[in-house]
Amino acid sequence: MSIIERAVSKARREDQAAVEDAEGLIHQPVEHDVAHDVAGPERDAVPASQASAAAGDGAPEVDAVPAASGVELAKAGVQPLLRVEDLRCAFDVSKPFLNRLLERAPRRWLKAVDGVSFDITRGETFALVGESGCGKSTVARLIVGLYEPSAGRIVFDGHDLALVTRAAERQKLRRRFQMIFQDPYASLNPRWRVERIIAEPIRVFGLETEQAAIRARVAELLTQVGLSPADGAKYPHEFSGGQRQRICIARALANRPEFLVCDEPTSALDVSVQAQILNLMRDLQDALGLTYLFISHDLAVVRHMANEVGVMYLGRIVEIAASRTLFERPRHPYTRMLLATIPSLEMRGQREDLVRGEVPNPITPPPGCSFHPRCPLADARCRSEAPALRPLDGGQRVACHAVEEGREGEWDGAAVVQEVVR
Amino acid sequence: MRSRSPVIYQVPAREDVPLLSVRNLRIEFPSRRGTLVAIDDVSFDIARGEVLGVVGESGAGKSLTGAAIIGLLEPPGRIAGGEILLDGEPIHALPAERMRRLRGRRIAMIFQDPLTSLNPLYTVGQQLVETMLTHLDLSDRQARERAIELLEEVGIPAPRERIDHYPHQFSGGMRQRVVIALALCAEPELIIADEPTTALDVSVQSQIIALLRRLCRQHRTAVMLVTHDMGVIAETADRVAVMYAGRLAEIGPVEEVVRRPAHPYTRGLMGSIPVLGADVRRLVQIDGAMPRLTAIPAGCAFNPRCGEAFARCREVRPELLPAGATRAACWLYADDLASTPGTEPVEGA
Repeated sequence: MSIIERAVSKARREDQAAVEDAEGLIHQPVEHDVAHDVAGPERDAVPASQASAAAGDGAPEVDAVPAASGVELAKAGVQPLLRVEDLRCAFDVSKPFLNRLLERAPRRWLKAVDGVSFDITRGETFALVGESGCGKSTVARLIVGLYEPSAGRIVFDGHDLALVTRAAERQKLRRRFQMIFQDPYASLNPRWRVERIIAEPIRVFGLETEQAAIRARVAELLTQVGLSPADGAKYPHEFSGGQRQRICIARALANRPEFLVCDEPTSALDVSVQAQILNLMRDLQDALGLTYLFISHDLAVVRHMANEVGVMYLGRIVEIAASRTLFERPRHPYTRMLLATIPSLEMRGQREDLVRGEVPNPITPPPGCSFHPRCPLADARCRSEAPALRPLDGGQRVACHAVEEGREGEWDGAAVVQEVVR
Repeated sequence: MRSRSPVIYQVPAREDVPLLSVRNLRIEFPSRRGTLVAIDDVSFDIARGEVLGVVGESGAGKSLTGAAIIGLLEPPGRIAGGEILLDGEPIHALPAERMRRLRGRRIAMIFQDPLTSLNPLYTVGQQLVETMLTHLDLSDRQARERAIELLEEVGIPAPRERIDHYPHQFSGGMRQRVVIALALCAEPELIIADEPTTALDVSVQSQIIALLRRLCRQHRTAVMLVTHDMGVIAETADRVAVMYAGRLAEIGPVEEVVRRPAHPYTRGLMGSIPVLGADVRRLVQIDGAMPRLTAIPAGCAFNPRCGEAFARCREVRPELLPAGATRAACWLYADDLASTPGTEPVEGA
């Protein structure tokens, strides 16, 4: 018995150590924070006019209360609507306690998001793009509060979300952002009528109390997303995929949010329906001054929707740039590879050499730069040292040793980008 | 480069007949509220070694057409009319046992999800060997050697070790490579690939479509590539058939259909795809949705959504008519049409 007890307590101690290890990693100061600050002013200076314009035409005033966390926002001139700083999220994927004990297996952590920082300017669309497992959806869920970050800060309109502890205040902030999910079949309650689905956020936030007012607001929302007020009496199964996504958008708009997190909003839809939804999202952005975080694996859709794009690979942003710059002059080898995967008439049969390998298991990412096993430019340094996100001329930021050392070569993918499909 | 085992029975190629010929195919689903026509009068050919892309929105009937060809139509669905000819011989009404022998041997299938087409309880080697022994006259040893060859050919590293691994030990992309090897192992003349890359990541997708295209070139295997992704079609197919509401809207060489689509539906479909090179504020949008099978409109099935529809479109269903280098089921291309809308690039524009 005492042997078991000792073993148990030893395993407990190891667990504790593992947790501390993981946290230790998390709290390490990271280099690219510096890079972020350096890039800050010149980057933020560009969209200032747009941001002030957006604020001018009826968008809610920028909160005058100084940021509780003391973020140096003043120097940037314009306060981004959302600032994500060194966000981290690790999931415990260890085996159950007894298995660990018997197999002497250590605790294992999946670092789904590993130090992600970006700003989103008011009225703009910021896109995160990457393959499955890169952590883009986790970032979305962290921002809307569906997951708890392990470390890092999410600052929404000057408020650090982690420091807003009073329920009422939290509620007030939460009302200002909403999420649209990928699968419109799974995100609507099949037993509720559409009007009840759309009215739910109105009731929860107590925006309207009178039945007639709620009804009028639901009708207005349905019209806004291109459905008829009479559709409110139907159930979700009576609608097609595209119409369901419209219902999801109507529900997301119900509490008049400023910021929408859209996680692959059109991936489950056919292209012609996708076009309808993307156009609708554009129109709503113009009409309501919305800000989007747009998450997608489809580069063409991202190019169409976003002002700024962050490319993610295994939990990190490897390149971040204005949409046009990123697609015309991609710098990171992974971005280049992603662009080369877009099928086109011009590239028929020339593809096999350009793209290689698959995304590694995120539980055991490769050491150094996590892209190095697939990278044509990898050398000894890439295999041992993780690159930080560094600013380049033109406001682009890239995490790559090869780019930093100037060995990335010219991007000859002009043909790919110029005419895809058409 | 590789010597094919002489034991493999080669079908004498009849170059004058298309490999696959689908004539006026009609598939019906009897239901309580009457008979639903899921595929209505669809005809197309696939030549030897040709890749025909079949594209359309979900519910257009593209997968159903593929299932009918390989004889996997699920009841109550049934072929109610027309015929399917393989090498000139009708196969749509073969007895189940003869169809079973043909399936895998002369026509193979690749499904969307590689996990559902591989048995998790057998190693990939066992599955390849079993398929070969069923269809080909090979010894166990020969079959195993050929399985290793095939795995190498589809780009699986260290095939001699990997052959004894189970499907769960492969990644998604590698599994789809195994499925391709499985489809190719009996040297079929036609492969029906139903959304072969939809479940894969973009970087893996591009590797798989390149592989499929290269192998089919080398083996002179014809492919019917069913997908909703126009990009995959543009990259892989020689000709493309566009389906809408169970009918063919347009069929022609891929370059023509992609660059100069003739049918208003194809044009809308092409315009709705975001393009990397251009700054477009709004995408071309086809309003409405594809009709349900219970409510397919009279005349052209696309007429309620078509900006160029006129009286005839609402009354008479159009045949496939020559439209430039493609053929489109659209009255805009009828010769006897007196007044053609001015904006239309008719006939070889």
